[in-house]
Amino acid sequence: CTVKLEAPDKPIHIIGDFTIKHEIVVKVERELDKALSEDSGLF
Amino acid sequence: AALDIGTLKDQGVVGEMSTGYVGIVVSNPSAQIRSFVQDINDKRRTIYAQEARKANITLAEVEAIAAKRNLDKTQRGHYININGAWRKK
Amino acid sequence: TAKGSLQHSQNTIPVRYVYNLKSGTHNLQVDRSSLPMMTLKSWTPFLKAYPALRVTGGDLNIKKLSGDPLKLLFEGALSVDNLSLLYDKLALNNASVTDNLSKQSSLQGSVNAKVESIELAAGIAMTNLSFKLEHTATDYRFHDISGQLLGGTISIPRFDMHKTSIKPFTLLLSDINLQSLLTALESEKLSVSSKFDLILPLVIKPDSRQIINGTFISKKPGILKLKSDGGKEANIAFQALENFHYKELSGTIDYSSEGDYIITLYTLGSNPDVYNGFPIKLDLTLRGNLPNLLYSMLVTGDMATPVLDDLKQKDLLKIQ
Repeated sequence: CTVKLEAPDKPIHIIGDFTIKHEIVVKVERELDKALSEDSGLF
Repeated sequence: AALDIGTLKDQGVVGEMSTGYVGIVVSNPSAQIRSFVQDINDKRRTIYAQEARKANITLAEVEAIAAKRNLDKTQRGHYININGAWRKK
Repeated sequence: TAKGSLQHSQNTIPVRYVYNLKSGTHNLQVDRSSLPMMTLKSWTPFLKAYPALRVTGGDLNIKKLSGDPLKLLFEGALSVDNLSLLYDKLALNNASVTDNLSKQSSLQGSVNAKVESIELAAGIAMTNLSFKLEHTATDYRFHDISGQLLGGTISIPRFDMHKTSIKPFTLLLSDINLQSLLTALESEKLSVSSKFDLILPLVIKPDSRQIINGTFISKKPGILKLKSDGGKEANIAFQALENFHYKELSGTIDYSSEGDYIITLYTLGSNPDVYNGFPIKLDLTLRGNLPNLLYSMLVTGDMATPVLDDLKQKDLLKIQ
């Protein structure tokens, strides 16, 4: 991500290119924690 | 006696694989242990497939998430399989 | 000439059938009658093509109808009242449709329709819809589709289908309150306050949905809040977006058939807590993968693909 400081009166220009890892991974992990919990006998 | 995964892990008979499934550490496991592990993995695969369907991602992606989770959560002293080699965590 | 009535699942339809020996022409004449749409499922090619599509209400009224039943060349007028259809969690409610048939080609007619609402699976609804349709047995040319959606208006100038394949079309949305969409999708992380105009060229195929060069713009100022987990160490762009007061916000949307999306965002504004409110120009590209997002929003509701064919382990799941 590059930040360009042009003349003081000009706005700060922020350019960025991001890949978003959706919360799906977090959600799946939470679901797996439940499904493979202690009493599931599967972990 | 009914087999229990926790005990088998304590005894070093089975361990967690980097595929998200349980693997057998000992070289000549009994038929009972083999079918026990097979049953555990079938149940896990069904859970992974349901999670994949619910989260709209592929089964392989869920298996990868599960593998990371299982390896992280493995107790010290239990076996994990990294690149085909068993070692104690 | 044979006169009598056609029995169709407890409905009697007065019918006059003329077979002209000399010219060898057949003519079926149906006088004023009506019957529930539900019983017509197997007759109408369109409904037959979508077995999962259920007719949940509606009555077909035949004002007059006559023509050759073999070549399906009819003239006359039909109307359907309080038609309701259901396809998984996509529901069409209370449509009234008139169809003026002409003998020019088989099953040719021109339709005028009004629909009270189309409820999308994601919990949002299009209301007060109206559209026109020219159809033959295999081709359906919808036009002037318009209605209300998310506080604004939705319009589709042209929408053509050949049998069941949908030709690329463009969705025009104006004055859309995106926040109500985000709320419906239970998004806790993103909120945006102003209204947007969107132009979404869509390519819909049986197993893939694409947005190609979609655009969105909000000419009015507003506040965008994107909660990112990074907090202070988050990238400066995401720090700015935590509470970004913008004058104008615009960008593009592309969504591939595999579910890869690319959103470009262009905005000018400031965040009181970043660079102590000094003006910031943001030029961002966001990429990610959300397979079947459109299909789950429109049809299934949950984030799961309804058709499990791409999940090879279908039999493993033992889902009937």
